[in-house]
Amino acid sequence: MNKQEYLDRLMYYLQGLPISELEDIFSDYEEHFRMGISKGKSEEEISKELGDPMEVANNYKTIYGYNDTQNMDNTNYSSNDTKRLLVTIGLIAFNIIIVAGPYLGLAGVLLSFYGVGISIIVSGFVVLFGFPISIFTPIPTPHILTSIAFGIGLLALGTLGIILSVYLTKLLYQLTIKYIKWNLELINKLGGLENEY
Amino acid sequence: MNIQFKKGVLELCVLSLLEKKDFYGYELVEHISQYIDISEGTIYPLLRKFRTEGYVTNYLEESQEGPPRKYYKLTERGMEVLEELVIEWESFIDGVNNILRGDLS
Repeated sequence: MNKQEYLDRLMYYLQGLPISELEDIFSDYEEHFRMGISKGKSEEEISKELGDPMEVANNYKTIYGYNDTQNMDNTNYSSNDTKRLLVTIGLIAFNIIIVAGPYLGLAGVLLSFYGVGISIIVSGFVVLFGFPISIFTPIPTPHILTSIAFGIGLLALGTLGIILSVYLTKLLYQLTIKYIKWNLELINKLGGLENEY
Repeated sequence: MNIQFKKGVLELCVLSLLEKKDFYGYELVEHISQYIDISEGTIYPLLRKFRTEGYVTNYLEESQEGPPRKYYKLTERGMEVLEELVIEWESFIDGVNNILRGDLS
């Protein structure tokens, strides 16, 4: 890291401190580099000896009570809180108006898949055993082999349908979790917690 | 070494050096890192902390090369803190040495 990179990074991690302090800190490190260079050290060498800019920045932040997220949160608690509330309300409205309809529709389709799968399996049993339809309705019973083959086919088809539905349910579940996480992240991000280090 | 421990020791070293004479930042860093392996960048935040807590004050003094240097001077409050830290340090070192020597009495 050369001098410019080091100072850039340090200033980046110090964001949030008062400008006058930043200028002061900046000039201290600029001076340090100048002195080091005049003693024949390279910029890279000096950067290395100074140590990780993030750590140095954290040292400063400790002094001003910006050390951890907790403190950050407390210092501008009210403004963060309002912002978070607004973002949350916005998201809820968006979800109810835009997302909820298609989502419920999708869940309904999935539910009907289960229904179709189960009814195909039931019909497979019916065909397989010719019961109870053959008792109540005077329809001509097909040949026993036809019934067995057709019944097994229906059973397989129904099972496949159920398996597919279970798979789709899992997918929907994962997407839902991801979507909720994304929502929460959005609240944190737009709600002013983005400076947490 | 444990970072918190090192920080404490560093505070002691800086205050103790400033008791002997006024230093400017680079000079202080150079002097300390001659004896102890530290991240040099941690001295400046420490000096700032001392200033906000009133242990040291700043003044600028012209130098032959380059712009004026920022010197640090120990205040009376700083002197008191140093005394306390020295007492703490010595009793700590005594304690550790006793353990190392293995006196179980």
